Amino acid sequence: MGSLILIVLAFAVFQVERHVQGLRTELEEISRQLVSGKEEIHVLEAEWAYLNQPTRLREVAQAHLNLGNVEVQQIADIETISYRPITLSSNY
Amino acid sequence: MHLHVEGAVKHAVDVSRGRIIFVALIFTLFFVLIAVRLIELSLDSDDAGNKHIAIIGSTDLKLNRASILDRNGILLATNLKTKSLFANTKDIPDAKIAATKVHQVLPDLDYSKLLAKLYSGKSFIWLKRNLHPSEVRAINDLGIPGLNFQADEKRTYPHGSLMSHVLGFVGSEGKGLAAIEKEFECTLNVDPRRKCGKGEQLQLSLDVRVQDVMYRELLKQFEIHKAKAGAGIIMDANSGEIISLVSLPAFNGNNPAKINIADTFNYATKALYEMGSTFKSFTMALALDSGIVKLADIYDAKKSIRMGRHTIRDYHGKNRELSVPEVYMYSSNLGTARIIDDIGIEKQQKFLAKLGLLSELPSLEIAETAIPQYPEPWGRLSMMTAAYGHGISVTAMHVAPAIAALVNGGIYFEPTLIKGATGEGKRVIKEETSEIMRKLMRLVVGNKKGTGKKANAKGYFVGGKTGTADKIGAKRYDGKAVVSSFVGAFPMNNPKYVIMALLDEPHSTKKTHGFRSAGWTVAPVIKNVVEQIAPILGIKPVAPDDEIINQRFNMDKYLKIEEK
Repeated sequence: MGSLILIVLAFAVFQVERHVQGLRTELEEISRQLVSGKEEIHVLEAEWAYLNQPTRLREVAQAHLNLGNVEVQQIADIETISYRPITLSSNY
Repeated sequence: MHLHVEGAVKHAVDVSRGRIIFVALIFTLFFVLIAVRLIELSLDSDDAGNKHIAIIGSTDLKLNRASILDRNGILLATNLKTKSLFANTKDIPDAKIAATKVHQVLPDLDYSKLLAKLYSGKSFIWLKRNLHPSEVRAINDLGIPGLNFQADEKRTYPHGSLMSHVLGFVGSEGKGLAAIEKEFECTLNVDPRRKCGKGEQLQLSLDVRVQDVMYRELLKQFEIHKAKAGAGIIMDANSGEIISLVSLPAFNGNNPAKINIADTFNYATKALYEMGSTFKSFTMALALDSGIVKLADIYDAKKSIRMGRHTIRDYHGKNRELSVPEVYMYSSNLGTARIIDDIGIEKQQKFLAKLGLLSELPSLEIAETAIPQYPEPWGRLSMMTAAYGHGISVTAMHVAPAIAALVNGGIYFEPTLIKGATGEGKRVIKEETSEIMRKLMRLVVGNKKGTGKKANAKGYFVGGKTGTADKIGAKRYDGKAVVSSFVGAFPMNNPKYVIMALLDEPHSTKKTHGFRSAGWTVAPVIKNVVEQIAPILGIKPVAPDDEIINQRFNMDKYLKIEEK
């Protein structure tokens, strides 16, 4: 009877070991994917910086948007804009 | 039947039984241990498990070199993973066919060199570094044995040539060869084979958006006036942080093999120039700060000064007596020479030294710098010419922080290219003197007779000083070439940034009516730059007719009203 318990235990250990192996492999695979993902993100970050070059943004803006440089007289403080005058109306 | 053992046989059996029991106990012990461990593992706390995970797989992106960012975190320089093509020539069946096919796919490679490499018999020889993914695929499609790829990294500058002189470039093994890349090799490098490497990201003080504006506007005038070189600096007047540093002509660090070495010369930090009239700012500040000269003092700008073989005179001079503000506004050499004569050589030397104008800049984080040259011996004539910026040569990077000290309340901050690397600063003039200097500089730009009026960006109260200095030809000042510069600050009622633009040997054009002076060539750069960067930097414009400010900057009582 003791030997039966021993056999069961041995089997259990073997199972646990196998399970851990599987998890380890899975973990390594996920780590690889993470690094690969980070590499992709890094390339995208570099491309983002490239596409957002001020020179390029200006060219694109000039080609597609009807915007020009901000002129000094177009800049003002929010305080200079007055509130709409309050009018009393029939609808409360 | 009962087995009956006795005597020696019984003894042997007993011993055997003992041994079996002993071994069984050992095995039982081990299995018990395993059982205990099993139970322990299944009841495991998180800690022990994570330690194991850390050993198994790191998820860090491992690159050989850290990135460089601008002050706002924008990527300026970074390593990208690539594949580099090499050949194991021993495995290549037919070198000639291979060379032809590879040349078709990579036409930028020289065919004869390629062939020579494939015939070399080497088991490892580089064919091309850092291929495009499309080139990698094309080479793979050729299916030629002996051609292999190795993982490589390429230093990439997303902004092209915009920050070239600040960043520098790297060599084929990714090692920094110029400017910041070289100076911060130990900070940026990760490769353990090199002698040092912290692998830390570097953040510069520069703002890439502001750099773009300065670069573009300087380049415009550089091309219009067919200058030999150009330099532009924008500096935080209250910290010494450099927001923009431009040198023209520029180069592109993305293609180090194609860089023209002459283009790598940094005209903002390494070119020594006799700056000319911009130096009058320093003379003025010294004179007023010493208390020896007052704003209301009058100086003769009519009679030329004879010193042995040399004569000092004013070109396009007013030919009359000038008040101190007028001496500055009309940029009179005679007035300035007479002012410094009242101050003396010793005070002048001490003051220029305090402003960092006589020695190498200790704080600048790139090696591309120069040591100023000054007169030896420094006699009375040298004192006078130095007062208006001749006989002493410095770089633009010397002038900018010195001017900052004049307008920011009187504190000299050492210039730096790294964000936050600001020193304590040391006082060079009194607060009151700084206020006077602001008023004088505003006069140069704000007054319709000022030489710097083309630098006036409405609403931003730009102030500064122009300088058009004859360059020394083969032996003397032959008037053939000049260096034109403007250095100033804005908004002058509370200066935030110092801005300097310089053109080396600009030519006049029809549009400038034959003039190549700073007022015509570089002053427009200042106006255009200020108008575009002020919104970016969050500087609010002031109403040009703001009474308080106009009252504060009013110098009318020192100016003689001229008849037309």
